[in-house]
Amino acid sequence: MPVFFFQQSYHFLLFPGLRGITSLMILLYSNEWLVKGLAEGRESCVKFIYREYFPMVRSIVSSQNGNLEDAEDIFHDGLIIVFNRLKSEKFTLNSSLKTYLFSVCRNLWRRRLERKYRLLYATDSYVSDLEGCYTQEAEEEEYAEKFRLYKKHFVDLPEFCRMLLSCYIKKMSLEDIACIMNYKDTEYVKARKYYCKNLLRNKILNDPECKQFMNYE
Amino acid sequence: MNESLSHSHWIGKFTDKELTPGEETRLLSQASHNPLLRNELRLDMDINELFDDYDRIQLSETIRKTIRKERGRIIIPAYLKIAASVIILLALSTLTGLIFTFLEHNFQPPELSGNPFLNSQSRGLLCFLPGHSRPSLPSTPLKRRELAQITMSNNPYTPRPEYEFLVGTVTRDISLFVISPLPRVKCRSDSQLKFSWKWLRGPVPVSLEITDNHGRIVLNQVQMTDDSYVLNTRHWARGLYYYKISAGDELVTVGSISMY
Repeated sequence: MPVFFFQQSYHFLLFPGLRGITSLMILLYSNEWLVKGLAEGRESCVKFIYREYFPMVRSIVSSQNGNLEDAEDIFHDGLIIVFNRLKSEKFTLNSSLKTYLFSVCRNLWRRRLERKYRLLYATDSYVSDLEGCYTQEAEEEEYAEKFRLYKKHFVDLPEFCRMLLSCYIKKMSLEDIACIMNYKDTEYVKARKYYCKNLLRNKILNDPECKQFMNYE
Repeated sequence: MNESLSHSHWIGKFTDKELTPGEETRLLSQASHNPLLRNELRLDMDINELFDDYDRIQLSETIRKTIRKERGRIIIPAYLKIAASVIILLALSTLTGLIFTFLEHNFQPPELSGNPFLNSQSRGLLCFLPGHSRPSLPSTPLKRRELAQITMSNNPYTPRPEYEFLVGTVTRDISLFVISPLPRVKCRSDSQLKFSWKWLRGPVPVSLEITDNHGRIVLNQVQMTDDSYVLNTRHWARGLYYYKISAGDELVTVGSISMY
């Protein structure tokens, strides 16, 4: 049976006999299964979530002056936020994943818009009491956005830097990294790592998009 | 360049906690006067924190990959999907119709062959479909029973009840022991069937009688003195036959031969 039968369901109204197959697919992709798959980072789940829920995110973004790229970024950040929350032990999902993702993405886009307008119209000279509330959600959202932007620069790094830093992220030992990268000793591995991180820092520091996160002072 | 390289080393070592206490104090005192260094230090810590979880990076990669892949996917318009659905449903129904027609004309379960009410004329559930009329059955139970008896008597494989319950029975007389054939035997119509026996109390003339399922005698061999007899079934009609083996006046055994 062609795959496209399962993607949209409205044309099944014409053929009630085939609706059973759709129900079966929905059963297969139950909420629990999706949540588990997302927590494990399963590709099939991400694909299903994208196909089913991305139109919803796109409609939120496009209804408020956003384009497709904005929608994709919001979708990415929203999923990362949900993933982070799912990994935390205190968190319990009380609604369906779709509803939850919808609310996360809507808040994310609203905050991003607010920030954009503040920057555009220079209204950040004063901070009202409401805007000044630094909630945990806002922190998480900023974290997700920061992660996306930094990762964008990480992907742009030279091949050897990406490999080296990936090995570090995987928490491999210096000896193993030296062996994989064909470096003479561990000291050289460290030197290359500092060089690559410096490269990444410079890229981030020179990116105007990342400037908003450099408000440490 | 050297300064930035050393800076980068110091920052890296600071976040990796590899500086000695003295070096750390020196760096922090430098940072207290240098806002750019402070920024870099914090950024480095941020990077370490953000890229700490490999699963998150993997998920991010998966999301990006999925988005890239799906963006290039051709979205089939709804009308094409509907058209495809219609075509597939038509094809499926045609195929089903063809299978039904084929089965209707070419297949009849063997167990239904003797039943006049379930032969190919009565199409089972198909008779409820428009265009399929129910077979014209006799109107009363008596007539239907008569029809059933006629149909059954025409069938060469219909068992004959008065013989059927005797098949396999052996007399109490122990003068003759039948070795072959078995009580119920199947045999091709153009082959040979061997009857053999053994005398237990000295030779007694043996007789063999074979009847068809209507009770008509097909073969009658009497006063046989050999201990075997080979029956040639060439030119015999297919059907159910019964054999009776007697020793003198005593009936020894009854069996059936299914000729196919």
